Amino acid sequence: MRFEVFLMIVAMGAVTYLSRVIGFVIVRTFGVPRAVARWLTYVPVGILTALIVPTLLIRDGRVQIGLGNHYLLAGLVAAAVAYKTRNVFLTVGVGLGAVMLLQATGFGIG
Amino acid sequence: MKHHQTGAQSSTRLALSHTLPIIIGVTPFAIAYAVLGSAVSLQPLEIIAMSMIVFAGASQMVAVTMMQDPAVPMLLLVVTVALVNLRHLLMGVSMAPHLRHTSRPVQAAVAFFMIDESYALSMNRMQRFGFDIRYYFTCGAVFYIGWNALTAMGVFFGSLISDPFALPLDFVMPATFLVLVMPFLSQWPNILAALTAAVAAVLGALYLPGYWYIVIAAVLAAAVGAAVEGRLERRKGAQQHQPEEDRIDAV
Repeated sequence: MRFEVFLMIVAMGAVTYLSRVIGFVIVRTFGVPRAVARWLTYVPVGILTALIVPTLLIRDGRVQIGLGNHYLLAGLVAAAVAYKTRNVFLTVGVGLGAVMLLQATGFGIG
Repeated sequence: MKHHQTGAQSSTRLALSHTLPIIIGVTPFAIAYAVLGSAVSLQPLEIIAMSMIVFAGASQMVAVTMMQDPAVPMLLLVVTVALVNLRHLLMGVSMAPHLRHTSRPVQAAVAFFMIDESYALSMNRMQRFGFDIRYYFTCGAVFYIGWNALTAMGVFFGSLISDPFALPLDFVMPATFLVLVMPFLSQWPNILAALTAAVAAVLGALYLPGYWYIVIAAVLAAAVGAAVEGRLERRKGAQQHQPEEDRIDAV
Protein backbone atom coordinates (compact mmCIF):
# COMPACT_ATOMS: atom_id res chain seq x y z
CA MET A 1 0.00 0.00 0.00
CA ARG A 2 1.38 3.40 -0.97
CA PHE A 3 1.88 5.86 1.86
CA GLU A 4 0.11 8.83 0.22
CA VAL A 5 -2.89 6.66 -0.65
CA PHE A 6 -3.01 5.38 2.91
CA LEU A 7 -2.95 8.99 4.14
CA MET A 8 -5.83 9.89 1.85
CA ILE A 9 -7.87 6.90 3.05
CA VAL A 10 -7.25 7.81 6.70
CA ALA A 11 -8.27 11.43 6.03
CA MET A 12 -11.45 10.22 4.31
CA GLY A 13 -12.11 7.87 7.21
CA ALA A 14 -11.58 10.69 9.69
CA VAL A 15 -14.02 13.14 8.07
CA THR A 16 -16.56 10.35 7.61
CA TYR A 17 -16.34 9.21 11.22
CA LEU A 18 -16.45 12.81 12.39
CA SER A 19 -19.70 13.36 10.46
CA ARG A 20 -21.15 10.28 12.16
CA VAL A 21 -20.08 11.02 15.71
CA ILE A 22 -20.54 14.78 15.84
CA GLY A 23 -24.33 14.55 16.26
CA PHE A 24 -23.86 12.38 19.34
CA VAL A 25 -21.26 14.79 20.74
CA ILE A 26 -23.56 17.78 20.21
CA VAL A 27 -26.50 16.11 21.94
CA ARG A 28 -24.27 14.89 24.79
CA THR A 29 -22.75 18.31 25.33
CA PHE A 30 -25.66 20.67 24.83
CA GLY A 31 -28.72 18.47 25.32
CA VAL A 32 -31.77 18.90 23.11
CA PRO A 33 -34.18 21.81 23.62
CA ARG A 34 -37.85 20.83 23.36
CA ALA A 35 -38.44 22.61 20.08
CA VAL A 36 -35.44 20.89 18.51
CA ALA A 37 -36.48 17.52 19.89
CA ARG A 38 -39.84 17.86 18.18
CA TRP A 39 -38.12 18.87 14.95
CA LEU A 40 -35.77 15.88 15.17
CA THR A 41 -38.67 13.41 15.37
CA TYR A 42 -39.35 14.12 11.71
CA VAL A 43 -35.80 13.73 10.42
CA PRO A 44 -36.04 9.93 9.91
CA VAL A 45 -39.14 10.11 7.72
CA GLY A 46 -37.48 12.90 5.71
CA ILE A 47 -34.27 10.97 5.14
CA LEU A 48 -36.09 7.74 4.28
CA THR A 49 -38.31 9.52 1.77
CA ALA A 50 -35.30 11.26 0.23
CA LEU A 51 -33.62 7.89 -0.20
CA ILE A 52 -36.66 6.43 -1.98
CA VAL A 53 -38.37 8.95 -4.21
CA PRO A 54 -35.56 10.32 -6.45
CA THR A 55 -34.39 6.77 -7.25
CA LEU A 56 -37.85 5.89 -8.49
CA LEU A 57 -38.80 9.15 -10.21
CA ILE A 58 -35.53 10.33 -11.76
CA ARG A 59 -34.21 8.15 -14.56
CA ASP A 60 -31.39 9.26 -16.83
CA GLY A 61 -31.19 12.63 -15.11
CA ARG A 62 -34.80 13.73 -15.50
CA VAL A 63 -38.16 13.17 -13.86
CA GLN A 64 -40.04 10.44 -15.67
CA ILE A 65 -43.66 9.89 -14.77
CA GLY A 66 -45.14 7.39 -17.18
CA LEU A 67 -45.33 3.79 -18.28
CA GLY A 68 -41.77 3.90 -19.61
CA ASN A 69 -40.37 4.27 -16.09
CA HIS A 70 -40.12 0.67 -14.87
CA TYR A 71 -38.70 1.67 -11.49
CA LEU A 72 -41.69 3.90 -10.81
CA LEU A 73 -44.23 1.23 -11.80
CA ALA A 74 -42.44 -1.47 -9.82
CA GLY A 75 -42.05 1.01 -6.97
CA LEU A 76 -45.84 1.46 -6.82
CA VAL A 77 -46.26 -2.32 -6.73
CA ALA A 78 -43.58 -2.58 -4.03
CA ALA A 79 -45.25 0.21 -2.03
CA ALA A 80 -48.53 -1.71 -2.08
CA VAL A 81 -46.78 -4.88 -0.89
CA ALA A 82 -44.87 -2.91 1.75
CA TYR A 83 -48.11 -1.34 3.00
CA LYS A 84 -49.95 -4.68 3.15
CA THR A 85 -47.23 -6.94 4.53
CA ARG A 86 -44.48 -4.77 6.12
CA ASN A 87 -42.16 -7.53 4.95
CA VAL A 88 -38.78 -6.65 3.44
CA PHE A 89 -38.19 -10.01 1.74
CA LEU A 90 -41.60 -10.04 0.06
CA THR A 91 -41.45 -6.38 -0.95
CA VAL A 92 -37.96 -6.64 -2.42
CA GLY A 93 -38.81 -9.94 -4.13
CA VAL A 94 -42.05 -8.75 -5.71
CA GLY A 95 -40.53 -5.37 -6.60
CA LEU A 96 -37.46 -6.87 -8.25
CA GLY A 97 -39.67 -9.39 -10.06
CA ALA A 98 -41.82 -6.53 -11.33
CA VAL A 99 -38.81 -4.57 -12.63
CA MET A 100 -37.39 -7.60 -14.43
CA LEU A 101 -40.76 -8.53 -15.89
CA LEU A 102 -41.27 -4.97 -17.17
CA GLN A 103 -37.77 -4.91 -18.64
CA ALA A 104 -38.12 -8.34 -20.23
CA THR A 105 -41.42 -7.49 -21.90
CA GLY A 106 -40.26 -4.02 -22.92
CA PHE A 107 -43.49 -2.73 -21.40
CA GLY A 108 -44.35 0.90 -21.99
CA ILE A 109 -41.51 1.69 -24.37
CA GLY A 110 -42.28 3.24 -27.72
CA MET B 1 -32.25 -2.94 27.58
CA LYS B 2 -35.61 -4.29 28.66
CA HIS B 3 -35.11 -7.54 26.79
CA HIS B 4 -34.29 -10.73 28.63
CA GLN B 5 -32.61 -13.73 27.00
CA THR B 6 -35.28 -14.64 24.46
CA GLY B 7 -35.73 -10.99 23.56
CA ALA B 8 -32.00 -10.63 22.95
CA GLN B 9 -31.97 -13.72 20.76
CA SER B 10 -34.89 -12.50 18.73
CA SER B 11 -33.27 -9.06 18.36
CA THR B 12 -30.24 -10.72 16.80
CA ARG B 13 -32.27 -13.07 14.64
CA LEU B 14 -34.56 -10.29 13.45
CA ALA B 15 -31.59 -8.08 12.61
CA LEU B 16 -30.07 -10.87 10.53
CA SER B 17 -33.29 -11.52 8.63
CA HIS B 18 -33.80 -7.80 7.99
CA THR B 19 -30.22 -7.14 6.93
CA LEU B 20 -29.45 -10.03 4.60
CA PRO B 21 -31.89 -9.08 1.81
CA ILE B 22 -30.47 -5.56 1.85
CA ILE B 23 -26.96 -6.92 1.34
CA ILE B 24 -28.13 -8.18 -2.06
CA GLY B 25 -28.95 -4.60 -2.96
CA VAL B 26 -25.52 -3.41 -1.83
CA THR B 27 -23.72 -5.89 -4.10
CA PRO B 28 -23.69 -3.89 -7.35
CA PHE B 29 -22.44 -0.77 -5.53
CA ALA B 30 -19.56 -2.65 -3.88
CA ILE B 31 -18.58 -4.20 -7.20
CA ALA B 32 -18.88 -0.92 -9.08
CA TYR B 33 -16.70 0.76 -6.44
CA ALA B 34 -14.04 -1.97 -6.62
CA VAL B 35 -14.00 -1.93 -10.42
CA LEU B 36 -13.71 1.88 -10.51
CA GLY B 37 -10.96 1.69 -7.89
CA SER B 38 -8.98 -0.75 -10.02
CA ALA B 39 -9.55 1.48 -13.05
CA VAL B 40 -7.89 4.44 -11.30
CA SER B 41 -5.06 1.99 -10.50
CA LEU B 42 -5.61 1.63 -6.79
CA GLN B 43 -4.00 -1.54 -5.48
CA PRO B 44 -6.31 -4.34 -4.22
CA LEU B 45 -5.21 -3.74 -0.64
CA GLU B 46 -5.89 -0.01 -0.94
CA ILE B 47 -9.38 -0.63 -2.30
CA ILE B 48 -10.20 -3.00 0.56
CA ALA B 49 -8.57 -0.73 3.18
CA MET B 50 -10.78 2.13 2.05
CA SER B 51 -13.90 -0.01 2.58
CA MET B 52 -12.67 -1.08 6.02
CA ILE B 53 -11.66 2.39 7.23
CA VAL B 54 -14.22 4.67 5.54
CA PHE B 55 -17.20 2.24 5.39
CA ALA B 56 -19.36 4.61 3.34
CA GLY B 57 -20.46 3.64 -0.15
CA ALA B 58 -21.28 7.13 -1.41
CA SER B 59 -18.03 8.64 -0.12
CA GLN B 60 -15.91 5.88 -1.61
CA MET B 61 -17.67 6.13 -4.95
CA VAL B 62 -17.12 9.90 -4.99
CA ALA B 63 -13.43 9.41 -4.13
CA VAL B 64 -12.66 6.92 -6.89
CA THR B 65 -14.66 9.00 -9.37
CA MET B 66 -12.66 12.12 -8.50
CA MET B 67 -9.39 10.17 -8.76
CA GLN B 68 -10.10 9.64 -12.45
CA ASP B 69 -8.75 13.17 -12.81
CA PRO B 70 -5.17 13.10 -11.51
CA ALA B 71 -5.16 16.91 -11.24
CA VAL B 72 -7.66 16.85 -8.35
CA PRO B 73 -5.80 17.75 -5.14
CA MET B 74 -6.21 15.50 -2.12
CA LEU B 75 -7.64 18.31 0.00
CA LEU B 76 -10.49 18.89 -2.47
CA LEU B 77 -11.23 15.18 -2.48
CA VAL B 78 -11.37 15.00 1.32
CA VAL B 79 -13.54 18.13 1.54
CA THR B 80 -15.92 16.68 -1.05
CA VAL B 81 -16.15 13.46 0.95
CA ALA B 82 -16.94 15.51 4.06
CA LEU B 83 -19.79 17.24 2.21
CA VAL B 84 -21.17 13.92 0.95
CA ASN B 85 -21.28 12.89 4.61
CA LEU B 86 -23.30 15.87 5.87
CA ARG B 87 -26.48 13.84 6.15
CA HIS B 88 -24.78 11.71 8.85
CA LEU B 89 -24.81 14.75 11.10
CA LEU B 90 -28.60 14.93 10.90
CA MET B 91 -28.87 11.18 11.38
CA GLY B 92 -26.63 11.29 14.44
CA VAL B 93 -28.46 14.20 16.05
CA SER B 94 -31.82 12.51 15.52
CA MET B 95 -30.60 9.16 16.88
CA ALA B 96 -28.57 10.44 19.84
CA PRO B 97 -31.49 11.49 22.12
CA HIS B 98 -32.66 7.87 22.12
CA LEU B 99 -29.24 6.72 23.36
CA ARG B 100 -29.10 9.24 26.20
CA HIS B 101 -28.43 6.58 28.80
CA THR B 102 -25.64 4.74 27.02
CA SER B 103 -21.97 5.36 27.73
CA ARG B 104 -19.61 7.45 25.66
CA PRO B 105 -17.68 4.42 24.21
CA VAL B 106 -20.93 2.73 23.17
CA GLN B 107 -22.08 5.91 21.43
CA ALA B 108 -18.69 6.15 19.74
CA ALA B 109 -19.17 2.60 18.41
CA VAL B 110 -22.77 3.32 17.39
CA ALA B 111 -21.48 6.24 15.34
CA PHE B 112 -19.00 4.08 13.43
CA PHE B 113 -21.72 1.70 12.22
CA MET B 114 -24.23 4.42 11.34
CA ILE B 115 -24.96 4.05 7.64
CA ASP B 116 -28.21 4.79 5.80
CA GLU B 117 -29.31 1.17 6.13
CA SER B 118 -28.57 0.57 9.83
CA TYR B 119 -30.07 3.98 10.66
CA ALA B 120 -33.24 3.25 8.71
CA LEU B 121 -33.70 -0.24 10.17
CA SER B 122 -33.12 0.88 13.76
CA MET B 123 -35.26 4.02 13.60
CA ASN B 124 -38.03 1.87 12.12
CA ARG B 125 -37.76 -0.68 14.93
CA MET B 126 -37.56 2.14 17.46
CA GLN B 127 -41.07 3.29 16.53
CA ARG B 128 -42.44 0.27 18.38
CA PHE B 129 -39.76 -1.07 20.70
CA GLY B 130 -37.53 1.84 21.69
CA PHE B 131 -33.92 1.88 20.60
CA ASP B 132 -32.75 -1.74 20.41
CA ILE B 133 -28.99 -1.62 20.70
CA ARG B 134 -28.41 -5.33 20.10
CA TYR B 135 -30.47 -5.14 16.94
CA TYR B 136 -28.51 -2.06 15.85
CA PHE B 137 -25.07 -3.59 16.34
CA THR B 138 -26.09 -6.83 14.64
CA CYS B 139 -27.21 -4.85 11.60
CA GLY B 140 -24.02 -2.80 11.72
CA ALA B 141 -21.78 -5.86 11.94
CA VAL B 142 -23.53 -7.63 9.08
CA PHE B 143 -23.26 -4.55 6.85
CA TYR B 144 -19.61 -4.04 7.79
CA ILE B 145 -18.63 -7.65 7.06
CA GLY B 146 -20.82 -7.71 3.97
CA TRP B 147 -19.48 -4.45 2.53
CA ASN B 148 -15.87 -5.56 2.95
CA ALA B 149 -16.45 -9.08 1.67
CA LEU B 150 -18.28 -7.72 -1.38
CA THR B 151 -15.49 -5.19 -1.95
CA ALA B 152 -12.96 -8.03 -1.95
CA MET B 153 -15.15 -9.99 -4.35
CA GLY B 154 -15.32 -6.96 -6.61
CA VAL B 155 -11.54 -6.54 -6.50
CA PHE B 156 -10.83 -10.12 -7.54
CA PHE B 157 -13.80 -11.00 -9.74
CA GLY B 158 -15.09 -7.58 -10.81
CA SER B 159 -13.37 -7.79 -14.18
CA LEU B 160 -15.53 -10.82 -15.03
CA ILE B 161 -18.69 -8.76 -14.65
CA SER B 162 -19.31 -6.46 -17.58
CA ASP B 163 -22.01 -4.35 -15.93
CA PRO B 164 -22.69 -4.64 -12.19
CA PHE B 165 -26.04 -2.92 -12.74
CA ALA B 166 -27.19 -5.31 -15.49
CA LEU B 167 -29.60 -6.81 -12.96
CA PRO B 168 -31.79 -4.09 -11.44
CA LEU B 169 -30.33 -4.65 -7.97
CA ASP B 170 -30.21 -0.91 -7.30
CA PHE B 171 -33.98 -1.28 -6.93
CA VAL B 172 -33.49 -3.28 -3.71
CA MET B 173 -32.57 -0.26 -1.60
CA PRO B 174 -35.58 1.97 -2.34
CA ALA B 175 -37.87 -1.08 -2.05
CA THR B 176 -36.45 -1.83 1.39
CA PHE B 177 -36.82 1.77 2.51
CA LEU B 178 -40.45 1.67 1.34
CA VAL B 179 -41.12 -0.99 3.97
CA LEU B 180 -39.19 0.92 6.61
CA VAL B 181 -41.00 4.22 6.01
CA MET B 182 -44.52 2.70 6.29
CA PRO B 183 -44.89 2.77 10.11
CA PHE B 184 -44.10 6.49 10.04
CA LEU B 185 -46.97 7.26 7.70
CA SER B 186 -49.81 6.83 10.18
CA GLN B 187 -50.00 10.40 11.52
CA TRP B 188 -50.53 13.66 9.65
CA PRO B 189 -47.30 15.42 10.66
CA ASN B 190 -45.25 12.49 9.34
CA ILE B 191 -47.31 12.19 6.16
CA LEU B 192 -46.91 15.89 5.37
CA ALA B 193 -43.21 15.70 6.27
CA ALA B 194 -42.81 12.80 3.83
CA LEU B 195 -44.60 14.69 1.04
CA THR B 196 -42.36 17.69 1.65
CA ALA B 197 -39.27 15.48 1.57
CA ALA B 198 -40.42 13.83 -1.67
CA VAL B 199 -40.79 17.14 -3.50
CA ALA B 200 -37.64 18.66 -2.00
CA ALA B 201 -35.56 15.54 -2.71
CA VAL B 202 -36.60 15.35 -6.35
CA LEU B 203 -35.96 19.06 -6.95
CA GLY B 204 -32.73 18.88 -4.99
CA ALA B 205 -31.50 15.81 -6.85
CA LEU B 206 -32.17 17.59 -10.14
CA TYR B 207 -30.66 20.98 -9.34
CA LEU B 208 -28.19 20.61 -6.45
CA PRO B 209 -24.78 18.97 -6.60
CA GLY B 210 -23.95 15.72 -4.83
CA TYR B 211 -26.01 14.55 -1.90
CA TRP B 212 -27.31 17.92 -0.74
CA TYR B 213 -30.80 16.81 -1.70
CA ILE B 214 -30.97 14.40 1.25
CA VAL B 215 -29.92 17.08 3.74
CA ILE B 216 -32.30 19.71 2.32
CA ALA B 217 -35.20 17.25 2.14
CA ALA B 218 -34.70 16.11 5.73
CA VAL B 219 -34.40 19.68 7.08
CA LEU B 220 -37.53 20.89 5.29
CA ALA B 221 -39.48 17.74 6.12
CA ALA B 222 -38.62 18.11 9.80
CA ALA B 223 -39.66 21.77 9.77
CA VAL B 224 -43.02 20.90 8.22
CA GLY B 225 -43.55 17.93 10.54
CA ALA B 226 -42.81 19.99 13.64
CA ALA B 227 -44.99 22.88 12.44
CA VAL B 228 -47.95 20.58 11.75
CA GLU B 229 -47.51 18.85 15.10
CA GLY B 230 -47.43 22.21 16.85
CA ARG B 231 -50.55 23.33 15.02
CA LEU B 232 -52.46 20.17 15.86
CA GLU B 233 -51.43 20.54 19.48
CA ARG B 234 -52.56 24.15 19.68
CA ARG B 235 -55.82 23.25 18.03
CA LYS B 236 -56.36 20.46 20.53
CA GLY B 237 -55.59 22.88 23.36
CA ALA B 238 -57.99 25.43 21.93
CA GLN B 239 -60.61 22.72 21.50
CA GLN B 240 -60.48 21.85 25.15
CA HIS B 241 -61.15 25.45 26.12
CA GLN B 242 -63.77 26.34 23.53
CA PRO B 243 -65.23 23.10 22.22
CA GLU B 244 -67.74 24.75 19.85
CA GLU B 245 -65.35 26.68 17.70
CA ASP B 246 -62.96 24.17 16.28
CA ARG B 247 -65.19 21.25 15.43
CA ILE B 248 -65.54 21.86 11.74
CA ASP B 249 -62.15 20.72 10.53
CA ALA B 250 -60.61 18.92 13.48
CA VAL B 251 -58.25 16.30 12.10
